[in-house]
Amino acid sequence: MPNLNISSLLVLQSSLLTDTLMGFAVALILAALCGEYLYRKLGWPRIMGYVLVGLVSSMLGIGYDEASLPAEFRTVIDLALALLLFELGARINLKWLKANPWLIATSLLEAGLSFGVVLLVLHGFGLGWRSASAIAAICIATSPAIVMRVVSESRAEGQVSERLTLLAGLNCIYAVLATKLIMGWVQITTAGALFHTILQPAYMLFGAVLLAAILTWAMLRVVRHFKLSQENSLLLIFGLLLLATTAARVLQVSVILVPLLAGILLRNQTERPLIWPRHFGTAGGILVALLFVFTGLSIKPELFLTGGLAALVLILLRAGAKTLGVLVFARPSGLTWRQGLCLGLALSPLSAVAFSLIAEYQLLLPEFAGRLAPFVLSAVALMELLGPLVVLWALRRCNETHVGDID
Amino acid sequence: MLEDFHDSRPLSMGVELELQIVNKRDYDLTPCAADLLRLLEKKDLPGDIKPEITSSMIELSTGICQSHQDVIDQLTPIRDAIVKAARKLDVGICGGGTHPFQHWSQQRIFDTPRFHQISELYGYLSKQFTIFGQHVHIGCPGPDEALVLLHGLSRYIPHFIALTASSPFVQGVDTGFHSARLNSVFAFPLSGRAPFVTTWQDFTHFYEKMTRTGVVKSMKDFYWDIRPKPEFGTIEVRVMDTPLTIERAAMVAAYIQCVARWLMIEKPVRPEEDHYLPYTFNRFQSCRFGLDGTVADPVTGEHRTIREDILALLEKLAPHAAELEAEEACNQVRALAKGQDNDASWLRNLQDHEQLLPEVVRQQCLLWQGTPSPG
Repeated sequence: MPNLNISSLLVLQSSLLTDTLMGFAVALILAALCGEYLYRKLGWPRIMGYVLVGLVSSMLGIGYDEASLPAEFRTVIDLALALLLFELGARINLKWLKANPWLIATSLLEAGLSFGVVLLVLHGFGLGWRSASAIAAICIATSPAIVMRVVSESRAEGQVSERLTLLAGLNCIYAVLATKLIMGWVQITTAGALFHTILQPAYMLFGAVLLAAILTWAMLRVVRHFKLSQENSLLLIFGLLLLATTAARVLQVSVILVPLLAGILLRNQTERPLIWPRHFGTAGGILVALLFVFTGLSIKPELFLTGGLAALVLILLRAGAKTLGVLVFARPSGLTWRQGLCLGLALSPLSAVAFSLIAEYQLLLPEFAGRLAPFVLSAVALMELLGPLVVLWALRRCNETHVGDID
Repeated sequence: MLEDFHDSRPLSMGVELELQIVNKRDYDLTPCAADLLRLLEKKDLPGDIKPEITSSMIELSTGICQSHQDVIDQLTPIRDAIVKAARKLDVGICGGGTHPFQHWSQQRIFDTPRFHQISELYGYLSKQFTIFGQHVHIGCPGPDEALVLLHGLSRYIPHFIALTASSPFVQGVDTGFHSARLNSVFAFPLSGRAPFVTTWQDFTHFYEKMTRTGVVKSMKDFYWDIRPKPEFGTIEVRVMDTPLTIERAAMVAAYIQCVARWLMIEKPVRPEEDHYLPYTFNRFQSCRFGLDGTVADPVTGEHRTIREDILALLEKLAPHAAELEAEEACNQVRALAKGQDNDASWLRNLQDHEQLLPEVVRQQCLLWQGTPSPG
């Protein structure tokens, strides 16, 4: 390499950085325009535009993969996800489960069926039981990000929306717990340590509950003494959420479980209604939009191919399993068949949580993760695009979206 | 064609209540009427439960009742069944003439052709019509008697309004009114008082002239404060807000029944068109100031507060209350007239204390269930 000196290297590096930033800036602008276009022309959720632009950018090489993700971006994703999970948790009224136990039955059945179906399908495609069960556990979760975003963007109100958020919150918890157990199981046979199977999941659960309880305690104080409509209180809430997720990362407990549980605890500890603007106002709204752009950027187009047929079959059968799980108890739980069908289909999105769980495997068991990633990531990639549309369609079919629909 | 005036047992009663359905997150109205009705379909209840114009509203009605206790005995199981079904759906049910902070543009029209037709005709008015009232039917011996009773009762409409007023808040603000709900009703073209006719023949004539103009197609198009209901053989008093409890709803029904009996039997005054001269003034006073409003006596021209007016009337009603077993109801009316908070004041005090309207609605739901509200 002739004539290469340090200064030219520096120039090259900084221009690379500028390129990334430029590319990123262009991606943001296009995301906003594309989201608006889809919304105005087709009445589709704007987030589909964000994901689409992210996807196209990543095809053009502007994307990144999990490993090379800059720390600042990681923070944005964590915070946005924590925000959505906390909001979702705060919608879950545990008393409802007591008043209508058919909901518990529905939740367990849809989660159980989707786990079982995915497990069998993947095994059928030749995956070992351990890999198949790891993927099946991840696939229990309905994307809380997509659900929360579409429900709040379309200002949906009604039984299907309420149950959708409830079931999504619950299956998210199942997915995290199941993943931890399976991780332990994989490790005992690979590393042979008892610690991993029992103590590790127990520690994770205990740690998550403890952190969530602390976060709830702090949030309760904020709710009582601050006006949630003020920007200053939002700063406080963002700070607390970020602190909690960072602590969760450091202590290696689930970053998903902590904000979700904190939301649930907060909601069920106080009778007084918790009133805050959607995603805690405009700042939160931007974070959430960024989350979707980033998820789009991190989808690599080749993913659609690697998972291939298995991913497609997996998605379809998983959606079928969830729908069947909801339909079985739809009538006794107080829904019509149509509402049950729509609710079941609306449970099909997969996204950020699945990403986050696969990332945990990549951290702890990189080799094992290598076998899972293609299936999960291509399934996620597909559902990231289709998920919002499915949810919106289902809510519209049940007349639960606002008349002017999305705002 | 106007329907014939059917027979009904004189002084029998029927009560209709329009109720709010709210979610339990932020206590805004939620469109769950169809879900609730489906759960209640198979229940064996007295009376009826029906959808209303927006899908976050349902209407319950009793069957034919003879006494105050009868109304309570019918309303209680209906209320309990609705509350139970609501719990299964995680929604709240409450009384109150308005939802304190709902935005009318967000209301959805219940899916029936008639409701869509109304919605199209009245535009934003029909959504602004997301208001919740109590209607009381009183059985009449015949059509002419019904019209005479209608004009007699008109004089006491301020009482009925002030006793049940429960709509101080509209779209998030304190209106200063006790019953702001009626302000929405007045926006409708055919609202207000019925024309002064005292025989069914004259009424039929009026009705035919009105239908000839094409403005009216059925009795349902009149949004009068009191209107005859030929199909039931009753007159229907429609000025009340839905109270916060079934007890207060039963109370005002029994009070109206007593006034009706007094008017029918003692015939204290002959109705005249001139009695309507202070009508809108009196009605405004009761909507605005509740029991502290001032009414002008159409006969003597004397001014009194509604409290004084009620207490004076209660004296005259005593023998009729005894006959109708409505003493308990009259005692409750007296307590209100003597200074106990009406529902509007209760709501206002609660908001003063809580400074959060969704919390006010939450406690409204508890009150409606029959659970004493905390704090």
